[in-house]
Amino acid sequence: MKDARAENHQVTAGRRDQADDEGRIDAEALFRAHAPFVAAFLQRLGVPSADVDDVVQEVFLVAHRKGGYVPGAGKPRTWLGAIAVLLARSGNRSRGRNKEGADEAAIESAYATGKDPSEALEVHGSLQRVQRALDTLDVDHRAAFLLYEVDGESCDAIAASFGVPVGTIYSRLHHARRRFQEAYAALDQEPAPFRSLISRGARGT
Amino acid sequence: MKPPPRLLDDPSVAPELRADLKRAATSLPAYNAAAGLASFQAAIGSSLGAPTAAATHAAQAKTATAVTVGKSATVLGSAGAKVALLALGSAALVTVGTLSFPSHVAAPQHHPASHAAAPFPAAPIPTAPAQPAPTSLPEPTTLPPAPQAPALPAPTAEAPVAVRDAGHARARERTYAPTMHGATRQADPDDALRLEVAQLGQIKSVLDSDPAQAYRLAEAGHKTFSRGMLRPEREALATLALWNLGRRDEATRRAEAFLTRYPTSPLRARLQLLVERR
Repeated sequence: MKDARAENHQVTAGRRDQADDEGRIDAEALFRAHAPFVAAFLQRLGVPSADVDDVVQEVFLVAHRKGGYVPGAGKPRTWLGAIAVLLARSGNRSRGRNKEGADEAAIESAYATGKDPSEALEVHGSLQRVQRALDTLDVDHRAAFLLYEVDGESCDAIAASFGVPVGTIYSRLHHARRRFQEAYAALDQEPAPFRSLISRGARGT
Repeated sequence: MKPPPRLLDDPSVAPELRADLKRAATSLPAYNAAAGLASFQAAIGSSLGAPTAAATHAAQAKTATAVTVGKSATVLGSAGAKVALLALGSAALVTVGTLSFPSHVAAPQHHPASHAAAPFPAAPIPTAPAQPAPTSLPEPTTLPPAPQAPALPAPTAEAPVAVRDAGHARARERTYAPTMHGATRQADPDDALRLEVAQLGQIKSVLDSDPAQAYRLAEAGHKTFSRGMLRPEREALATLALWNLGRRDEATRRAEAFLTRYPTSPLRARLQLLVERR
């Protein structure tokens, strides 16, 4: 699945990363290849949808100011993810943490239009449930969970990009996975939003 | 130690959860990459976000790609620490550059993702704030002492501005070095920088709604973070606050001084507007 996602990123980008002789990838090439990933990552970190476009710009401007991505233990997406976490955390402090939980606007826009309506409902329901469970995690745990579980990155790459020992990432993942599953299970114990009921009904669960 | 099996691949995990995660993994938001790229190209085409010498050097040397994040971040090597601190500074910088300027101080290349650029108002002080004044601002109750480091060298009148700016950048790198490696660390430089970033956020949050408060906060920030890394960004906000207060002559003088002192600043284009539209 990781390969499919990587291919999707490249199709979206329209071309492969541009690397110089040293293997360094400049920020513009990073933007072409990974902007949709960064946008999704920021939304799932809890950045309000109204701010995502701006924060995406900030992430790549920071990448630009740092001279682009230099190949190493960290991968481009984990490296960009680490920058995104910094900015998301900074934004949360200035804006105040989003207490409303899942960002409906983000979820509404989080899948391509023009698909079969029932499929769209299924996707919407899935994203809503995942986001509500993610909202129970703090930024550090959420970032580790997203990069590992959703984006398929390795713990070594995440640790290298975030500047922490890999054991720290294992620990964060352990707690994040437990909390996520607990929160996900608890969704069935609370009144579900109307749209979720439709979604679950649409897929026969 | 081995990484745990991914939930997606773990048969003991509820199928519904795995299905939801799989959909999340394959459903990207409807992000307008073309518009975003155009904005980004415009931004880096101007002076905004120009790679710093330190960053370029770090990239060329392939020394570190790590970014310090969170309380559990480890102390990095010197190169990694520089890059991490640079990232924080850059984060604050571009936040200032892309988000926080008053809507009437439109950037030359204001990207479409942001609010639409608006002309300068006829009145110096907006009669209707662009956003309601926050009822409470996140104010750190205690600020750590300024990092125990040599003060930034004051640029001399004789020094070429580019040299002064480069020297300033090098001094920024040096600023936190003693505390990063010193045996007696009184204040974590990352924490100090985060507080400085947070204080910058406070200034930004009231720049439109309460420019007087923004100006006071900026001036207080200069004192509190006298050896901080974000003085240029804070000074830019102070200048804009003065402009919003209608103190245009003073704002213009400070803008001119800013342009002289920080000729390669990413904020140059925005402050240049103040000088030109005096």
